[in-house]
Amino acid sequence: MSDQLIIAGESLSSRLLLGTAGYPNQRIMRDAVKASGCEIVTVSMRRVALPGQEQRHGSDTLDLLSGYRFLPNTAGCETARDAILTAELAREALETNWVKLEVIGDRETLYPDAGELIEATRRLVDLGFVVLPYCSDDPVLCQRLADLGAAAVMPMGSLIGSGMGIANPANLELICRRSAVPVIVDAGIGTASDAVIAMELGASAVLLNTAVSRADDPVAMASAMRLAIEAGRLAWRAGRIPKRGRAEPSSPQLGLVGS
Amino acid sequence: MKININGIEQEFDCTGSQASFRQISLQHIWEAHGREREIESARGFAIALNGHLVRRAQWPQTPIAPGDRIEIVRALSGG
Repeated sequence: MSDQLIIAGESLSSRLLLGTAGYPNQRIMRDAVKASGCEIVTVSMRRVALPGQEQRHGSDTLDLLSGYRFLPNTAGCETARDAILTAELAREALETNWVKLEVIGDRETLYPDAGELIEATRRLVDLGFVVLPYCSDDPVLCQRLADLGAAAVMPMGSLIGSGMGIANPANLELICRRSAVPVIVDAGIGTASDAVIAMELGASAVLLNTAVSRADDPVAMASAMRLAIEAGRLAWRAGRIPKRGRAEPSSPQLGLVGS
Repeated sequence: MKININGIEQEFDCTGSQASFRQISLQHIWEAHGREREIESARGFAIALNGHLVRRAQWPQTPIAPGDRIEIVRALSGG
């Protein structure tokens, strides 16, 4: 049964996108990526250390993960201008026109800035990028981003790095039901059941990082996430039963012993 | 000649070839790599001059002037 995720015409067999930051060490990061079964890993763009400065952690990530598809992010950018320059630098550095677009509007909550996000999406699409914007779980914002040419939308499950899971399943279900482009739930996933819920709500994929990288055993959690996303996707395709407020026996009522 | 590199102002001798955009860029990339690499294989790195991307092919012929801001970035772990 072929059930590929298609983004901007590219066919992907894994519906999990994994971040590469915050692991106990780079070996565990590499093993977790492998265990997750993902094809796409996210990376950030940062200034190189100047002579005399300590080298940045994770600078060997590209070498360790050669063969994976890199999805650069614009994490930390607070304006469309900075996000666009970061995307252009990433395209040059990694020879990919895909970008996970983040434009943060508030440093405490890391909530996206909708206005800057819309502006950055518009301009990056014009510049030939495949734009995957991280956005709030707002159906109208998701619609606007898709209308502007975003290749997918990436509504938050809950706050970045919070592990709070899917804060607003009703909104997410609504977004998934109406979206013309793939919906990738990004941020907030805490454990495997959160990923299952996202997929059961109709998400096309899940992007996560901290739930794996900060787990007691990141490699085992990466395996759990792979299975969770497969299970959630299968359940969504299978179609769940409606919920009802009364019991209904599953065994036949006729021929009971002693009746 | 003072050039701002990744937010830190540095003084360069503008009489020799040391103060070319290409030389400054490659020197910093080599430092970050811990070993020398050819310009063509500077994968993972990119450079902006005064807020605008400078494509790799343009590094050799990009002029610099006092007060220029150079951003040299690389791909790192990220979420």
